[in-house]
Amino acid sequence: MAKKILVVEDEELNAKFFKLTLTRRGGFEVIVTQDPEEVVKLSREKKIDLILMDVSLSNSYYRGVEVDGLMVTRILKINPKTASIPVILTTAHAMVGDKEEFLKETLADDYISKPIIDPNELVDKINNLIKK
Amino acid sequence: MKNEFDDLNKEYFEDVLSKIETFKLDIENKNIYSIMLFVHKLKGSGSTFGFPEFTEIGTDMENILKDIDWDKFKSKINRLIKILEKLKREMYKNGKKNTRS
Repeated sequence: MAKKILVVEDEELNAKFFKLTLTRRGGFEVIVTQDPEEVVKLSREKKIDLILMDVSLSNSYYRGVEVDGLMVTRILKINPKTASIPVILTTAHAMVGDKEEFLKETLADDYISKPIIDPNELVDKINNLIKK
Repeated sequence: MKNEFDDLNKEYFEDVLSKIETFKLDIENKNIYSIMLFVHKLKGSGSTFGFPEFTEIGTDMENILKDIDWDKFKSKINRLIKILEKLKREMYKNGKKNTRS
């Protein structure tokens, strides 16, 4: 059975890219959303094997409060029901120190910089985390 | 040879092209938030869709925006517009751009 990847992305074309890459090259089942409420709901109810989380979500709200991908990740990681789902952050903020800061702040498992130049690298990263 | 990303790359290119007039207006109006958002997305997406020159110029623009030198910034925009126009001519002359193997 194919592993389920939840892609949290507010840019339509990026979402399409992730879906194409992960289904065709990774053989994964992919669910795409940009709604934090849905992310938390799906993570609690469905068997999600890994989450790919865009750091810079825009116009995204959780319980009425505007949140970004960092906050959504934090919400998942402090909840015992969802904490074990691996989360990879995706962002174009590639300043020195950002990676360490984001991972520390959110307890996310890994980080990948945009642009994604090599789709296979993304698939490998996901496979490595799912196998752990 | 056509690969699975070709159609998406073309869709991306047309999306950037469709936003350039709005972007030029944002520059005239110095609408800094919209400008920064466009530039950030350009930087973070260009190479993904087979346009590394967009990522390169987006990175330059983002660096310039830190100090906001409008003359320097406008010269980069002019360069981006030239690149877009050149690519558009090439793409529609030779068929779809094949940028990823």
